[in-house]
Amino acid sequence: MIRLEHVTKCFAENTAVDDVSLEIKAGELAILLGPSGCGKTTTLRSINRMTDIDSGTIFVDDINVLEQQPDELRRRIGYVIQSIGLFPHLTIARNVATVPRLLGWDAERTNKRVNELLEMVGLDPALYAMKHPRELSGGEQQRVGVARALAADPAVLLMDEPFGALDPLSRQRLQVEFRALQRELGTTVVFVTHDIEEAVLLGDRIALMDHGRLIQFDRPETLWLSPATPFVSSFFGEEFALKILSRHTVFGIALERVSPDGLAQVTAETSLKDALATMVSSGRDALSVSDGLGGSAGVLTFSALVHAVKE
Amino acid sequence: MGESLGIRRNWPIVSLMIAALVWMTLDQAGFGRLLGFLLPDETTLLYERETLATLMGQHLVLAGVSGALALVIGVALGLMLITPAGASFRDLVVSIANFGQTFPSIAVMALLVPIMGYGWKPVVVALVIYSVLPVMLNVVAGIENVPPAMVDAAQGTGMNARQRFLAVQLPLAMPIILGGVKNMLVIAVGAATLGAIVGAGGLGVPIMAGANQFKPALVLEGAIPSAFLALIIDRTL
Repeated sequence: MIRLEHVTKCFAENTAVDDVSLEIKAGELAILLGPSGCGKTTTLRSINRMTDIDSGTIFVDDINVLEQQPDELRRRIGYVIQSIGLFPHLTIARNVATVPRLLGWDAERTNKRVNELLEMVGLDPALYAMKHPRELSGGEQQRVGVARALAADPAVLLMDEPFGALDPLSRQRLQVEFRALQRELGTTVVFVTHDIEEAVLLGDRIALMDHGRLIQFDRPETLWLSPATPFVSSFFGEEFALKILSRHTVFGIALERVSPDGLAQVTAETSLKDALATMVSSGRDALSVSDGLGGSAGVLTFSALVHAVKE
Repeated sequence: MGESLGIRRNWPIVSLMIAALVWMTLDQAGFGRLLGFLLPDETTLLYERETLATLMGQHLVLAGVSGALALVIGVALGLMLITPAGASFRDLVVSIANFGQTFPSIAVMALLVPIMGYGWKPVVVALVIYSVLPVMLNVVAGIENVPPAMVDAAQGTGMNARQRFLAVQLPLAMPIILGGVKNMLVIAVGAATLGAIVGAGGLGVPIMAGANQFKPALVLEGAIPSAFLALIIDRTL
């Protein structure tokens, strides 16, 4: 779907991206992660040619982007940056309609699409369409940013720290909702962040970068269990295991058929991180898992939890 | 547009000022009585050789023509200076425009009269030289004040350079550009009184006559409408 081959980009003396090759599959949410200055944003911006690379090739859908007219290429690739990217002098509807208007859609089709998109990102069109960006909260603005990027139904979405400026609560809500929306639409997403938690929560795979080089591109579980270099483990730190736990739920783990009496109860949808926290706070090494009908489906033990994650 | 950018105008006050200006221009006898009330000892209250309506008309033409020319030239120069090619001329053009603004208008007129003769032409040239700078500088400042991230986002949606300029940069720069235009017009209306010196007419005529003949009522006859005109422009734009 997206293929980078030996991509290199220098700014003056400094090599921002150094011989990066990676392939992102259709429908995948790929994270570009790393310390600031590692080249993740430059890599992202090279895909829609906001930055032109010095050498290498980039394919989107098997089409070489370097052979495309940049403006036309960008209309087919969604692009979301921090909330400042909305145009303050235009209404929400006009902001979302940016790309359809550039593509010359008629008013009826554009309006229909704008309403559809606002509903998709959880904003009531009747309430929001005619407002201006400054009347919206940061979280609402970023929903509009996502809607605008999705307007022409792009197969690829590029996101540069889209939730970075939000307060923790809205960030978390948007992350979860965005993940669900992305799965539903099947959009291929390249997502830049420096937040490990966000990367592990959202990413199908994480490309860890450092000093312009791609260090490892794998599922978070693989990065955790088989780090390619010591930098990988030191970057993710000791807490990596806990963050991995947040990616998985109790559902699917073999439960023991013992008496749940006196154990704290969780549901099958509870994340393993929360399950572990419940064990710690209840002072027991086991939990009762509800069967959704008021009873207990079985008992989740600490050792079952640990083994499930390792696998 | 102004409303959406949060600028509030006090329309009742502006309407009152416009009504007052129209009244003093058209009801000359009434305006004369007002000046007589303000200066009870004066016997000559109005300039006799021209009606105030004629002088006002001349004044509006002088300020309007110069303002329009300064607007066109200032915007054109400002737009030129923000292009990559024009940026290298910026220091030079700004220095020249600065010099134009510091060089006294009255001296420009005096220098131009031998070439262009008496009348409105030297006045318009002097006013334009004086007024171009605020327009030009505000065009540059307005465009450069647009956050780079906004231009980046516009580019990211696939707008070409022209679309980015027209749909994003120019509208966002408009409040600053209009601020420059407003300043320029306020200055031009005041400076147009100098036209009287080189025979271009305008509201400066009674002011000069009053100053020469020690008749303060004549000074006010020209100065009050001129001040109202400037205030109205300042409150309307």
